[in-house]
Amino acid sequence: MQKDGVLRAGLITLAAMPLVLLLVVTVHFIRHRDATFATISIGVLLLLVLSLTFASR
Amino acid sequence: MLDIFLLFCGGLAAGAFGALFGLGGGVLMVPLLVVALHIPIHNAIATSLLTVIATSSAATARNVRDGIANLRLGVSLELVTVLGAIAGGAIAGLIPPRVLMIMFATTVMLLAFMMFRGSEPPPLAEEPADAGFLAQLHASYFDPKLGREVRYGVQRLPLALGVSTIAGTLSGLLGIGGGIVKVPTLSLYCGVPIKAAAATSNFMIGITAMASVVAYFGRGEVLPTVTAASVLGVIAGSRAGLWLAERTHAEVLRRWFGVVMVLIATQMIWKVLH
Repeated sequence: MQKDGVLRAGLITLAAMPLVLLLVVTVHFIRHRDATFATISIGVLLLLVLSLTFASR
Repeated sequence: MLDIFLLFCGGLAAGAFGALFGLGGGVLMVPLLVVALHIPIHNAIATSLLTVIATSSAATARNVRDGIANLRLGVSLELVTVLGAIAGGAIAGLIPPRVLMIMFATTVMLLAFMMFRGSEPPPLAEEPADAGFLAQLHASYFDPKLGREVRYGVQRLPLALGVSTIAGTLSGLLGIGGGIVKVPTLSLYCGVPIKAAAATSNFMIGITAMASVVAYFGRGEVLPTVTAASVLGVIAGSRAGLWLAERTHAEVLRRWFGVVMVLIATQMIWKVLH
C-alpha cells in the first residue's frame, strides 16, 4: 500500500513535467520579446491549470 | 514478476517507436496492455498517457536543443489541442471499452492509409514570402542525414488547427498522445518535413497527455506498478529511438510508420472480434 503511494506520488511528479517544460518555453518567448507566442503559451498554461482545477474537484 | 518484465520490454519498444515517429508510444502501449496483458482498456489508456508524457519529456529537450522542434508551431497548435484533450478525458469514462477499441483501430487504420498514399511536400527553397502570423511559423533545422539545412514554411494552418483539436480529443479518449494524427497531417498536408513534424509533435504530446491524464487520476484509473514499469522502459527506449531517428531517411521513416500502424490496427480488430 505504501509502495503504491510512493509510486503514485512519482507518477504525479512525472505528469507535471510538461507543465514545467511549457513554463520554460513561455519564459523563452518572454525573454526574446516574442509577444504573440508568449501570449499563446500563457493561454495554454492557463488551460492546463483550469483542467487541473476542475479535475481536483 | 514476468508481467513487470514484459511491461518494461513493452515500454522499451513503445519508447523507441514513440521517439522515432513523434507518437509518444501510446499507440503501441495500449494494444500491448489490452491484448497481451489483459489490462482493462481504461487503465491501459491511463498508463499509456503517462508513458506518452515520459517519452515527450525525454525527447523534447534534445529536439529543442538541436532546433528540430518548431516551438512556435507547437504552442499555437497546442492551444486547441489542450481543449480537445480536456473534453476527451472527461467523456472517456462514459464510453464502453469495446467502442473505445473499435474507435482506436479505425483511427489507426485510416492514418496508416494516409501515410502510404501521400507524399511529403518539398520544403521551401527560398525565404518564405508570406506575411503575418503564418510567416512567423516558418523554420529551419540541420539534417545530418542530408548534410544540409532544411527550410520549410507552414501551410494550411486552419487544417492543422482542426486536426489538432481532433488529436487532442483522441488523446483523451484513447491515450495515444495525438501524435498519430498530427505527424501525418503536418508532414503530408502542411509542408512540415516529417522529422520536424515528429519533433514538434513530441513537444506537444506531453502537454496534451497531461491535460487528459488528470481526469484518469481523478477516477483512480492509474495502476501505479504497471505504469511505473512501463514508464521506465519508455525512458530507456526513447533514447534508442532518437539515436535511430538521426540515422534514418525521412521516406523510410514514413513507410515504416505506415506498416507498424496497420499491424497495430489489425491486432486491435482481432481482439474486438475474439
